[in-house]
Amino acid sequence: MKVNVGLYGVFRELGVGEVALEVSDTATVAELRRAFGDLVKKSPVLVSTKIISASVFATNERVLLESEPIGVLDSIAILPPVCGG
Amino acid sequence: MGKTFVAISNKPLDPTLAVEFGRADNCGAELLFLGTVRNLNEGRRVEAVNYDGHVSLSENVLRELCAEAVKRWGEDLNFWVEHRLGRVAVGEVSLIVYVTAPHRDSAYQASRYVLEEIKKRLPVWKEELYCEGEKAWLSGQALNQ
Repeated sequence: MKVNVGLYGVFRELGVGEVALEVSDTATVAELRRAFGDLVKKSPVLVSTKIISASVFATNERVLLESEPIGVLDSIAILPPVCGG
Repeated sequence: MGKTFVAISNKPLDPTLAVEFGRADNCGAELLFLGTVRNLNEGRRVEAVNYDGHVSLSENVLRELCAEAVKRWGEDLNFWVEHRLGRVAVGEVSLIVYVTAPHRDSAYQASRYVLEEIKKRLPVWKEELYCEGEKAWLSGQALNQ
């Protein structure tokens, strides 16, 4: 299935507002992370793989666990390490 | 019972609105923290900061932080916490943390708590824009640690 992932912070360098990733119908957040990492490796934009592993996936309401299935979730985004304030 | 207002805003922040909101006859202490953009960071001259943020998550986090502070320091606390997004020039306000409380001890502690937790938990990111024309996203605190 195709999953659109919203981009924030340094990840905005990869695309306008979101990227589309292809994952299995039973994919978890962990699989989504791997798919995102593969996309980044193919991109001409340099984003550290350490930042990807230090990032979280979230919906509009909460941060997701790695083991959560993503099939029924809306509005997933990847959030790099934060520095507000 | 205290009041809480939180917001993520794309417009210039106005601290006078916070003060008008938070003043209360039972509160003898008011603390206003303003975060502003500095002109120098790690030796580089900064022209502005571009703040990016996940709006709905950020508003949830700000509400949670204020609720946590109320639980620790009392239900009489009032909060106005507002973070700006978009381009913020040097000298402009990017963050308001305004707290009123019956006494100064809880005001100081609650204010410091909310500010420090914002830096660790708020899904907001900074891209510094330098005077020589370059720009860079700043490193931050991982949310999964």
